[in-house]
Amino acid sequence: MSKLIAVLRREYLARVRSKWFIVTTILAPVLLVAAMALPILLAVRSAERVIEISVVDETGEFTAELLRTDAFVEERVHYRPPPSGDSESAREALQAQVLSEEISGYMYVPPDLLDGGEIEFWARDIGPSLVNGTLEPAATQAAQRVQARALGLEPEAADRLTRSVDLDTYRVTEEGAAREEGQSVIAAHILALTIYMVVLLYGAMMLRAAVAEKSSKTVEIILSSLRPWQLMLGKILGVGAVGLTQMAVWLTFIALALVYVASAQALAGVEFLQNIPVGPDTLILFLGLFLTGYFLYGGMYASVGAIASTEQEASQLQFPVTMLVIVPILVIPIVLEAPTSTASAILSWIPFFTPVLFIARYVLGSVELWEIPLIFALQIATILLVAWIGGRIYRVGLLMTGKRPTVPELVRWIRHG
Amino acid sequence: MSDQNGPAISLDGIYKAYGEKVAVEDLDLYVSRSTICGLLGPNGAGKTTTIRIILDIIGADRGSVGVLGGTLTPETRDRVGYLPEERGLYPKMKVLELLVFLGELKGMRRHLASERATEWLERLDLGDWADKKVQDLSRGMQQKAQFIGTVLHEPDLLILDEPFSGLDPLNVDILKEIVLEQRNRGATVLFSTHNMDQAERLCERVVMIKDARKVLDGSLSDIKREAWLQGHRQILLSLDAEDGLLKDPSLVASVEDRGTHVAVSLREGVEPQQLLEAAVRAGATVNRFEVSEPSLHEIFVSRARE
Repeated sequence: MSKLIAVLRREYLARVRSKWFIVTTILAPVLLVAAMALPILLAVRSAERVIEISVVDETGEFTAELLRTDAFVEERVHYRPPPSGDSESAREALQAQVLSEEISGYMYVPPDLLDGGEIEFWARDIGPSLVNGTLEPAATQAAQRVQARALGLEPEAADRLTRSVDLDTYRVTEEGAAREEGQSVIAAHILALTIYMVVLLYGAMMLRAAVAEKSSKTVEIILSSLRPWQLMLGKILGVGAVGLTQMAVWLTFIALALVYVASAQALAGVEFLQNIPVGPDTLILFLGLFLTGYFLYGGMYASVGAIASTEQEASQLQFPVTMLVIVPILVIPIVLEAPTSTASAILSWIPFFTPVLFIARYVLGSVELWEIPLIFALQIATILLVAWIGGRIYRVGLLMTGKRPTVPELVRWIRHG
Repeated sequence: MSDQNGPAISLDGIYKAYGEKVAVEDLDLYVSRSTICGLLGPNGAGKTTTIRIILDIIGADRGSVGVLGGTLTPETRDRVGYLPEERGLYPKMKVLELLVFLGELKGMRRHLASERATEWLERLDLGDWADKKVQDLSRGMQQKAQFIGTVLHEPDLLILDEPFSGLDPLNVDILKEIVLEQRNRGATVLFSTHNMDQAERLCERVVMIKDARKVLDGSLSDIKREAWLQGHRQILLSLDAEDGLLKDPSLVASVEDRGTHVAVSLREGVEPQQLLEAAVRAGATVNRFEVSEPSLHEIFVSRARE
């Protein structure tokens, strides 16, 4: 037992002290927050800048309607009348004003607007939030109103004709129905992806850990002191502890960020976040599936590592295992689309796919209660099988260097190991 | 179960094959306590396989293994120290931490392991390197550090696979001194080597394996006496000229240059007197001519050629 702990401690400290760990653990969330915050900050900044535009209107009706749109009424955009004179000389004068930054830009509305003519916008800075987010919707609305009047309707009739309809969705479950705005699907996807990434990340780490004794030629001295299973278990637990440490740091970051956001009421998304159907039960299941997934794949990656002699060789050999991790991510659209279907249920019961797919089905409320003991029983049975096979491969593979074993040789190791 | 006075190692009818290739065939080996025993043999003879079987790193196909008077339990495992032929330490670990880890694997408490490792590092002139990473050490220094890991827990049985290979003579002497010291403390030492000189100077007992079978087993003095009785002689010779004489295949079987003199083994049936006569006839000045018992090297070579 104390030897197991010694191995665990060594594996843990060797990784937690590495530059890699410090960078990914501390820097990754900082970069992530920065990447999310930067566009928001920039948007706020640009919103503070006064935008003043002019319009050369050859229809004579467009400008009046444009000034009645929200962007101008709310003074997000200011209007400056164009210089007098014909449109040609007005445009020349405005061009000079744009260059000298007196105005942000100007629109040119052609006389054939109602017959398919396009409106032009001339400016130095053509930012997507200004053009696509502000000016285009305003110009569209104004053009539609002009069109309505031409058809003999009230201008406001255009707004009613062009209204788009949203479907309000309600998810019906045994516990009752709930308003659904896609937040369940997003939550299901995020949790499934998290398990996927963590398993892949720590599987790769486990792979390197399993080769360490062979590549550093410490195998024999270690095996003269303890049994192969003690080494393998110590490694899996040590690397797992690194994973939990990293997740704890990240969750703390996320919690702090959420508290900040909630207290600042800075985002309209707060209410959306509160509606996410992730309760303590989901988190417990998530943790359980994270652990079974880690042990399942950790054991498989460790066996692969035991077959290889060097890290390079190990990363070539890991492909079949990595395929098994990737498959559920490829089929997850099936589950998200129809979580209650038989196909989804069966896919989520396959032990190698369970960690990723079952959590998704659970979040979508499509899981029967009896399925939970079933899948955990399957998970544990598979882990034991993988540990038994992996232990035998590991025991023989540890002392093998040089030639990579063939598949029949592997089968012999497993049978006689 | 474990008998305090039983032999340090007892192998009975050990057989091990890898597929078609027999690595160890029906090997019996008994090593009593507090002796230094050399395990000799050409490359591929089965020395390392034998050692791995003793340590239960691999299992034998047949036969029984006894270590320190019993079977190899986790407790007896902790009383064995092993230096594998293939040296290796975790390159990114600090030297002292690594030694503490190796001590822990032998059931030592951390602070005791740390204390003793520090003493050993000082003794082997590695004190300044305790907090350096293993990869920053030279090969010789790494080898000394690994040797510390082998003796740190004061084992009752030390198994050293080619312990002196790759070391400079100064460090060879330091390690030899430690091996003797361990024996005097009561430990049993089994070490494999190619270097007959070292075996001759350290071992009380030698076992030689060739082609998976034991071909020699006994105390060094017994083995030499037997070889003498069988007519094996070695002539220590120093001549001023006439090297052609030593290349005469009708007289000389092999020549070993020892710097100040050469050690000559004669062909079977050739008497020492014949060599001396030939030398005188060739007009060489003979500075030294000594008939001695064969060296271990000599016995090894003749056995390995059989």
